[in-house]
Amino acid sequence: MRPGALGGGRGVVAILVLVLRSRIRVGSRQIGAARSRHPIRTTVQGITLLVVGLTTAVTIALVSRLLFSVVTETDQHLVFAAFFVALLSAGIIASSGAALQSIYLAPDLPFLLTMPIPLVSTFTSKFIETLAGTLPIGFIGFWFLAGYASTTNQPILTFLVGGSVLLAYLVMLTALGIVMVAGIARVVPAKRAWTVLGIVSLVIVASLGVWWATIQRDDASSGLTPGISIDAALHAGAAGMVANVLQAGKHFEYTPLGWAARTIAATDGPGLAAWSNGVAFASLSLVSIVGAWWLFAITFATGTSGFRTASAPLPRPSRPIARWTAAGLSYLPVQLAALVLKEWIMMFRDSRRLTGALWPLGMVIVYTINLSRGSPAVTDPAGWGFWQSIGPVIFLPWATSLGTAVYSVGSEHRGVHLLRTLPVDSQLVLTAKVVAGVVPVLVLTTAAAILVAAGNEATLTQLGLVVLFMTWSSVGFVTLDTCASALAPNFVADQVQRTLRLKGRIYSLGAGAVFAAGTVLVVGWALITVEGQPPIITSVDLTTSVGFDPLGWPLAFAGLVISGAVVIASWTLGVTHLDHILIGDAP
Amino acid sequence: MTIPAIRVQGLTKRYPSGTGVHDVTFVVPAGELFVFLGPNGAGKSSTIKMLTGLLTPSDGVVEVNGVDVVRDRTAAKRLIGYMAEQPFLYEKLTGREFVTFVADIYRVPRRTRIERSESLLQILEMTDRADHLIETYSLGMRQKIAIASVLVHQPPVLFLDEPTNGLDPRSARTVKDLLRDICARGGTVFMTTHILEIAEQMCDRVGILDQGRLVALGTIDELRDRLGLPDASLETIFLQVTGYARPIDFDLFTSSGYGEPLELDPDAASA
Repeated sequence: MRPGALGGGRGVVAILVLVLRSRIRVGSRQIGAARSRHPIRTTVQGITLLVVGLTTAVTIALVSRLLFSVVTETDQHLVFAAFFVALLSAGIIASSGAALQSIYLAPDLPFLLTMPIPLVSTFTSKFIETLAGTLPIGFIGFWFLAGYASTTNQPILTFLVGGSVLLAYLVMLTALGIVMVAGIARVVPAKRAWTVLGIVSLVIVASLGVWWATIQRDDASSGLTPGISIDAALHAGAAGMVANVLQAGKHFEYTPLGWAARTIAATDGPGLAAWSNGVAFASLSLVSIVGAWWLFAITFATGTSGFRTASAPLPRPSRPIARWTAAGLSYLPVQLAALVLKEWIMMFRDSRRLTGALWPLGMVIVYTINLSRGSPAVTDPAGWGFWQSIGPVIFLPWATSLGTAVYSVGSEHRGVHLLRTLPVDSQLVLTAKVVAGVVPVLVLTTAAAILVAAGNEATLTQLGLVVLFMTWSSVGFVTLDTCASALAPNFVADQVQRTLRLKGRIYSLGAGAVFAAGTVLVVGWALITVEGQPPIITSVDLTTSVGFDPLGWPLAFAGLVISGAVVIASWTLGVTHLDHILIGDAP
Repeated sequence: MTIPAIRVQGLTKRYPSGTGVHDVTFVVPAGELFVFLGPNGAGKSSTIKMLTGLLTPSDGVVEVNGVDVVRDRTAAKRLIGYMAEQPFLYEKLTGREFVTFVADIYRVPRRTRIERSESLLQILEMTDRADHLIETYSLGMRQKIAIASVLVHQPPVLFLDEPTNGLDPRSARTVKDLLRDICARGGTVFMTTHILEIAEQMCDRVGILDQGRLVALGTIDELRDRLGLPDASLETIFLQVTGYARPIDFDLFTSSGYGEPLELDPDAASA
């Protein structure tokens, strides 16, 4: 213990209470301040959270009920084991992120370090803060447990035992998160922690995905035969899913997650074996806390100073790449080129900003692989069959843009104040952000689309059309999402996903849906023009029944009007809001 | 008639909580180094933000080189170089990239930009670190890059909030010399500082703001004459016009002695 620190267990607890009380006070004041500053926004957010929470809870409980209504009593623990495994990746990501934020990057840490506070009190308060970051996992677990208890008519004891097991599970996840972060802080320079954490999380998710794919039972979809009714297909699909869940559970039956699962599943018939599983899991949970404390204690000074030292060794950024990019932009007006270059450099050097692009990137990869193999439902791969196979690829820019362009204004962070001091107007800034956003989305998704088209034996005309559609789609969706990012940016958010507030997200989705509808019409017209009417409507004489050919120019006109209107409206809104940010009194 | 570099007439800023800046009027001619002083919370930041077009005045006129800052902000910003107390920098850019970015925004021709940025980086002793990310810089290095970015487009009017903040004595001297040189060549510098020695050494004229009102304006000699304190330092003048009186006798420490350990009662903490 450092000189001046309070001795004895009571002192440690007293200090812990003081620290926690101050943290709670800070948190409640932040909420209070937000409520008084933006009462309507806070109310809407509260209601949205409630609705989303209720929907999630009901969905989880229903899935749980479905699973437990079809498995036998002896297999129930396998479902729980599979459930704990499924939560593991999300749990580790949540807990390690929370540990990094609440322990190593917390603004109060240097202050706490200068105070005569025993390290164990600091650790405990930070452990509790980190544990709070895993509460969403606990929420999911609780409703899964509720689904189980209501389906199998479990006694109230199930909630007590299940709740305790869940708590022990969260504690273990928290400890694991702290261990991971302590390890990272030990071996990598401070500024790289988020990147390493992102890579580790990606590896965990990918490993679980690969594992899940490899254990899929081959006979899981054996019930899906041609001509099957929808009910029968759903039943067969559900049965296959349950079989896979049980298969997954079996792999972890004798691991600590299996102990936790057995403890919950055996509460209505508490045998010695069931209780011993529970005791073993709880003990392991305690051991994990001790392990986390030990690692925290021995790495604390190194890790913290590493995080705080501004001069942590970093390699020089690649100047040639920036130079080539600058040369590539030289045909643009100089101010626009400067803003676009700045945007790209910031985008590609900021690993935290790139985390927003992880899931869209995953989606592009998944769609490319799936659609390249062709659709079994398509019997004739030429003409309309080709477009039927690759159709969804046209909307890949939407997904990609939702993970990148929607954050473009908010991720300026403090840089927005610099923009306010510079002689630039909102049109120029927004144009630069659109250009900077369109190029990577266009390159990435067009490359994916060409791969998909090639996999489906596209003709040259079809390939040309694919490139044209991808350009239309990329420019449209990125413009909409960039404008949406100006509607409700959050410049003080640390995480990129929080740099756009709810209003902007809702607008982005709504405007995207309208543009998607317009795109369907325009693409439909283009395909009818090139490929002729699709087989499904060739037998209908629309011209006679309507009086004109609705699949001719009216289709293109309607598509262009819808798409154009939503883009123009969004641009106007975006410029107005950005104007307010750049020349108003406070962003 | 010569157009003044800065003309402020009846500048007022009202907030819901009260008036932050009250009817401030002054003129800064071209080529002058004007130091703006005031106690914490006096309204200096609000004033400088209104002068640079970052905050809309409730009343009054602000002109920079004859351009109305409120009516034509973009045109006014072309004439201004503004450095905030905590400079606004893009952390993921290198120092050199940042200076280039600002120069391009001000449309400085490429060759001129390269020449100027290289010499500024050299003068400010940043050449060795110019290709490192700004996020790795110390406070002083950030300050130097901010100064370089403000000077690279050679604006006629500079607004600098605590420009020597975080600089080592050698760099602070360089910056002071640089600013004096700019004024000698016709540029105008409007700066704030809490270090009165710097203000006294550098300024042509000084303005002192207190509780949102301009309570003193003139050269240091003029202020001495006005107050009847012929040998007074700027610190004495400042304290005099802002009404400072030593409020207590610092008997805070005498009751228990200075440095005696305090007892913390664990029960009281957890109660």
